Amino acid sequence: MNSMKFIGGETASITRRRAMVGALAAALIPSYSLQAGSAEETPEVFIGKVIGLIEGLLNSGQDEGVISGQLEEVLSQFAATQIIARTTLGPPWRSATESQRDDFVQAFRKYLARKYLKRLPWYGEGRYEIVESREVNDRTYEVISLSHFSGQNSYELRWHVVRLSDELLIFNLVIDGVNMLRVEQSLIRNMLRKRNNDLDVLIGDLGGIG
Amino acid sequence: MPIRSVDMMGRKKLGLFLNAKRRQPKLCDPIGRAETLACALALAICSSLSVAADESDPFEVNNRFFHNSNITIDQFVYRPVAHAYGAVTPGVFRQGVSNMSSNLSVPGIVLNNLLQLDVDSALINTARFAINTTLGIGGLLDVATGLGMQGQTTDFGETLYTYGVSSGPYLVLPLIGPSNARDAAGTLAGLAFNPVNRVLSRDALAGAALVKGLDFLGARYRNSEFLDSLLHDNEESYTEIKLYFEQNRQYRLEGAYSVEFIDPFGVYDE
Repeated sequence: MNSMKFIGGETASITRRRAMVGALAAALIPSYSLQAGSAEETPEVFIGKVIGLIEGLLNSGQDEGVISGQLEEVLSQFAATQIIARTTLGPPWRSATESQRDDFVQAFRKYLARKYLKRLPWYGEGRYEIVESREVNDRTYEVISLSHFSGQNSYELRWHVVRLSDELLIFNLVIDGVNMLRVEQSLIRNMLRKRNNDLDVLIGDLGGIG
Repeated sequence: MPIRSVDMMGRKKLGLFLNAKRRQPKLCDPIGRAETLACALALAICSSLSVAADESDPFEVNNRFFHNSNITIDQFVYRPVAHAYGAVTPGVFRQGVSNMSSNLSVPGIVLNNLLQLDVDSALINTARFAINTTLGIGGLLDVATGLGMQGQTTDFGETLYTYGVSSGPYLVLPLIGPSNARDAAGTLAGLAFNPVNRVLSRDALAGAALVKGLDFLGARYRNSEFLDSLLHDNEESYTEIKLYFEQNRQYRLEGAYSVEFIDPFGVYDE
């Protein structure tokens, strides 16, 4: 039972109580101006804003399809999707045409939003507390948050943030040690290999995966 | 000099065994009869598996076979039964079962705390067990956490880790799921040498097994959205579960040291 417990009990799960906070959060979302972190903003404040935004979305009581669309919007505003897509794809990125790159970034964002809506360990009643923020290298930061959800073990969500032309953007998440970028690298490269390294086929399929 | 220490990287290690890691890694260091037996059993399992070419996953062919059977078992047994269990029981009942199940694990945890020479945790867990078994009505209520005594779990796999045993190859265990040679040995040792088994009567043991089984179903139910998306409708479920298991297990044993910070500029000039 030990390992099933890993997949099930302790690491991650999502059970959301959507109905209650629905109307409130729906009203709340537009009030956040959809802008990435500005030059003056600290990574800590930036991540606090993103956490609040995602919480609002998850508790909005809307359809999963609608939430996934909005999460995609959040990703395009707050995440360095170009860097994430390029790091994930690896060498094939170099040989891809400009339009293939654009299409891949778009399909990949859709895939991430839909997939991590189910994978992110976000429960109904509770919150994430930011416990630490540090500069890792020049223009890169790590913000560490801890979950506090009733009846659940606490786990750690690390946000890796980069400052690009004075904007703060998320480029990686580490959930209780599971590194999203590393995992996606393996998965996407496997998927591409299975499709005879045809990037266009992968781009077409990514829309329906996740 | 403290016997148990945390090294510069934050890794938990036994001072006595700090050099063990530097020696030629062995699957099983000499560590007493219980673990030796479990290691022998794990090795017997390993040796019955055919070896594939990939070094990082030498038992991939067998692993994929058991992975696929586990997915099928989940689809037709675990998942529907867990849903039925969730549908007919109130949340407060499932929470009580979960608390009871956790409490039943505590004697085994204390044994491992002691094997790891972690006396502090052994004392806290013993106190937790005493409080929850009495004031918490046989473990139904987690009174100790309410009193500020947080529990922290451990197992024989972690004990082997602190003794310097390397993880060994990735294994998918039938009915159980992702593991590795070290943790498979730990799981067997956990089953064979659970102190609870020596104290409880036959009827009480059956009750304890029922609680454990229901807790497993409760966890499957509680995490159904996550597990459904991970196990089913996922063409890369094998790789994804393998990575989740390996990275999460390493993080639990080694702590923040194992978290990799990928440099976003490292690939910026593609």
